[in-house]
Amino acid sequence: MKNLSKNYRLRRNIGFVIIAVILIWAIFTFLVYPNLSLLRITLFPDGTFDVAPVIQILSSDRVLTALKNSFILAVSLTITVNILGIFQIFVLDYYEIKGNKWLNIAYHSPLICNGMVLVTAYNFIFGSQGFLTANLMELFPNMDPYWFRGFGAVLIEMTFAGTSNHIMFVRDSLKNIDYQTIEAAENMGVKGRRILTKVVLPVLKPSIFAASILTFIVGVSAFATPQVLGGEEFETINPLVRSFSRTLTTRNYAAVLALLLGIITILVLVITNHIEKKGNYVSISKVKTPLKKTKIQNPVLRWIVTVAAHIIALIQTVPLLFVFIFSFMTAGDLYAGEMNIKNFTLNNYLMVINSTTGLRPVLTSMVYSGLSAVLVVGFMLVIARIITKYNNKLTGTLELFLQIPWFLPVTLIALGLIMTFDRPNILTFGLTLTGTVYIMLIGYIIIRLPYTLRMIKAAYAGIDNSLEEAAKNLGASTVKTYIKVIFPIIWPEVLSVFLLNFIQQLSEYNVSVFLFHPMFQPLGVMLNVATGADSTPESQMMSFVYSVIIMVVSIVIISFVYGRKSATLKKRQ
Amino acid sequence: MKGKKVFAVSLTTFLAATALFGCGNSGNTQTEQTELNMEEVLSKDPTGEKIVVATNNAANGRDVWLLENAQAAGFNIEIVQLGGGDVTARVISEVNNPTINVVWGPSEDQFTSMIDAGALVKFEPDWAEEVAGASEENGYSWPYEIQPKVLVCNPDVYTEETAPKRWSDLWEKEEFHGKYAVPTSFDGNTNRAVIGGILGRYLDENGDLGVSDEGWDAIQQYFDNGYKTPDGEDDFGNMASGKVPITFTFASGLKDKCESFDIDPLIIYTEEGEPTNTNQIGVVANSNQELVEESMRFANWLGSTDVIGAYAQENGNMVTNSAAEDSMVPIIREVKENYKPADVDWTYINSMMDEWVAKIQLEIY
Repeated sequence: MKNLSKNYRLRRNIGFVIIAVILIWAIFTFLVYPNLSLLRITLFPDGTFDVAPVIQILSSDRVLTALKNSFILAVSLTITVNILGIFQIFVLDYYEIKGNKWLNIAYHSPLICNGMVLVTAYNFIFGSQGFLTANLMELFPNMDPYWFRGFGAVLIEMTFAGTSNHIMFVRDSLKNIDYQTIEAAENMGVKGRRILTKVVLPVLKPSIFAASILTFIVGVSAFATPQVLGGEEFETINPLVRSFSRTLTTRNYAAVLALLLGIITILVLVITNHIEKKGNYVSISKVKTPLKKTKIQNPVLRWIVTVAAHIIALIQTVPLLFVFIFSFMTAGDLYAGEMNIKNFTLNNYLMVINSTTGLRPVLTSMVYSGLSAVLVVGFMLVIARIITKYNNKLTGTLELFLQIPWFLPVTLIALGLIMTFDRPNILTFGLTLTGTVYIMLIGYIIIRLPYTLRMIKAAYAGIDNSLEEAAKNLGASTVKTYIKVIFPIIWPEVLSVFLLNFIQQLSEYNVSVFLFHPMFQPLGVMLNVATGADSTPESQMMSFVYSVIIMVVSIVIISFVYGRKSATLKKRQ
Repeated sequence: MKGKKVFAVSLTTFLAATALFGCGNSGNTQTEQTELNMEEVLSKDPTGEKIVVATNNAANGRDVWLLENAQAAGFNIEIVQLGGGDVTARVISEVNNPTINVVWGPSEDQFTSMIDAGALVKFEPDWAEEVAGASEENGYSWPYEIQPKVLVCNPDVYTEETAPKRWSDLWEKEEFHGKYAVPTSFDGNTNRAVIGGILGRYLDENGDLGVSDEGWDAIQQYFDNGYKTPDGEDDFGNMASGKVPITFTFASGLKDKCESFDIDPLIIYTEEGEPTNTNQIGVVANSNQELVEESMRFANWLGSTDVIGAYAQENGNMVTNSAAEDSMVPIIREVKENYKPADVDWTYINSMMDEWVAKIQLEIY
C-alpha cells in the first residue's frame, strides 16, 4: 500500500525528476568527475598503478605511527568533546548556574577564531617560550619548558576548541525537550539522575550522534594542532598528507595516504550509519512547554559545577584575548615572551590597512563565505530531505558520494577542479570555470557538503512524521506542508549550520589558494602568506591582525543571526 | 522503481557524453608563440592594461612600494601574494586558462617546472647582459637576485675560531650537537637548498635516489643531532638569545631578521661553499598577446638597474644586476664579497629534490 502511493507520487511529480537530473549532473560534474580524473593522473601516471609509493608508505615507521596516532586522537577526542560539550550545554540550559550570560558567550567563543591562529595563541601562552611557561619557570626553575607538548596538549587544545557542534546543535535539541515529559517522569517518582539518563539523554541521541561523527572526522584529519603542539612525540597523518600533496612528484603519496585514511573513515561511517538507522528517535512535541532549569540540590556539588563551568569559560576565552593582545605587539617581544605594554603598537594594523589589498580580503571572504553557506545549506535541505524520506540503496549511494570531500585532501579536490574545468567542458555546457570568480564558490560549497548534509539530516530526524501527515490530511500540498510545517521546525538548526559554515570559510586556505580570482584575494590566503615558510617574523604579526578582523566579523554575524534565531524561538513558544 | 530508472538513464547519458566529448578536448588553448621583436615590444610605453603579478616578495609593506613605483611608471598592476611553491603549483595547474601574468620571486627550479609545463613565454629583458652568469640561461625566466643560504652564529657564544667551518662540522663534531637548527618543513626554498647542499656532495648513480649510503647517513646525522625548532619559537630568535646558537637563513632575510631580533650575528662562510639559488622573474603564456607584451614590459621594468637597485636598498637583497650592486645594503655587500656558491650539480639536485624530501619525511626525519 505504502509503496503504491509512493510510486503514484513519483509518476506525478515531474519536479522530482528534474531535481534528480540536476542532482546527478551536479554531483557527477563537480564531485565525482574532477576527483576521479585527478586520482587517475596521480595514481596511474602511465596507465598502470604504481605500487612503489604504497610499499614505501607502508614500510615507513613514521607513517604507521602517525596513522595510529590519528585514530587514537579521533577516538579520544570523540569521548572528551562529548563529555565537555554535554557538561557545557547542561550548565547553560539545564541547571541553574550563576553567570549564565557570561558562560553562554564564553562557550561560543572558540567558534570565532581560526584554528591555526588559536593553536598558535596556545603555543605563545603555554609553549616553551610562552608567557605562562616563562612565568612558571621563574617559580619552578627546574620545570620542563616543553611541558605542554605531545598527545595530552593536542587533546586538551582540540577538546576546548571542539565543542561548537554541541553548543550549536545538541543544545538546540536539549531546548526542544518538552518539559511536560520531565514533569511526567517526576510525577511518577523518577529522581533527578534517572530523568537525565532515561528521559533527557535519549532525546539528545541523534544530535549527539551527529556531533560525535563530526568530532571523529575532526580528530582523524587534525592538522594545525598536532603540527604545532604535537611535537616529535605525537605526529599525526594529515600534516604529512598535506606536505606531500603540495609538490607534483609526491602527490601520489598524498593520494595513497588519503585513500588509506578514507577507507578507514568510510568503515567508521558505514558502521555509524547502520547504528543510526536502527536508532529510534523521540520526536519533539507539537505543543511543548519550554524547559525549566533545575537547581542542583547538593550545595557542594553545585559549588563544584559552578567553579568548573567558569574555569572552562576562562580556558576558552583567554587564548582569544591573547590573540587580541598579540596583534599589538612587536615580533621581538612576542618571541621573547615579554609583554611590554609601552612597546604596544598599531604598526601591525597599519601594515594590513596600508597594504595594496587593504581590507578588500575581508569583503571578499564575507561574500564568498556567505554565498557558499546559503547555497550549500539550500542544496542540502533538498537532498537531506530526499535521503531521509526515501531510505534505499540509491539514496545511500548519493549520501556516500556527498561525503567524498571527507575522504580526499582538500588540496587534491581544488586541483581536480582547476584541472578539469580549465577548458570548455560539455559537463559545464561549454564553459571554462578555471580563472573565473565562480570556481572558488564551487570549491567552498563542495568542501562543506558532508558537514552540512550530516547536520541537516540530524535536524530532519527530529521531526515527527505525524505532523506532516496531519498537514496532508488537512489538504496541504507537499510543498506547502514543507514550507509551513517542516521548515519552521528546523529553521534554528538551519541557521546554526549556516553560521558555522560561514565562519569556517572566512579563513579557508587550502582550496582558496588554488581557486581564488586574483582580483579577489580571500582572508585565509592573506593570513597564510603572512605565516608561510618564507615569511619574516614581522609579517607573521599580521596574521594576528587578520585573526582579530575575522573575530570581529564573526561576532557581528553571530549576534545578527542569533538575534533572528531567538526571535523565531520566542515566536514559536 | 521509477526513481531508479531516472537515475540510471541520466547516469548513462552523462557517462556517454563525457566519454564522447569531455576527454577528446585536451588540446592546449595557447597558440604557438610567434617570434617577437623584443626591442620593439620593450621600447613601447606601458599601455596601462591591467596585469596580475604573483609574488612572494610582497610581505612587510613591499607590496606598497611595488604598487606605487609601478603606477608611477605607467603600469596598472594587481599584486597577488603567494608563497613560491603555491605560485608555481597554481601557474602550472592553470596552464590552459591562466589568471596570473607575471611571476616574480620563485627560484630557478620552480621556474624550470613552470617552463616544463609550458606555462611561460620566452622573452629577453634589456638587462639580460647585466645578469649573465648568475644562473643557467633558459630564455624564459631571468634572475634578479642571488639567494645564498648562510650559517649564522650567536657572536657571544662563538668566535670565528670556535664556530663551525663546514656544514659537516655540525653533525661530525660533538660540540655542535643540539646547537644548530635544522629545517622543520620542506616546502620552502631555503630548507630545500640546505638539504640539496648536503646530499649534493654524495651523488652516486648506484645509490638510492642517486645518493650514496654515506650521503643518507650524513643527512640522518644532520637531522638527528640538530634542533627541530618547534612552532612558537623562531630559529633566528633562538640564535640571537643563545638558546640554539647556530642557524641558517636566506641572504635577503638577514636585514629584516637582524632588525627584528636586534643582533649582529657571526656569518659563517663555509669551506665547501653556500647552497645558493637565484630568484627569478618570468612572464606567463596567454592567448591575449597585448597582455603578454605589457607583462614583458613590466618584467623588464622591474628588473632594470634603477628599480631593482632601489628595491634592494630598501629590503636588503643581493642583486644579480651588476650595474645595481652599489645599491646593496652593507651586510649584503659583505656577504656578496665573502661567500662562494657550493659547487654541486643544482640541475640534478633540483630534479631529485621532491623525491629526496619524500624519503626524508618518510624515513629520516
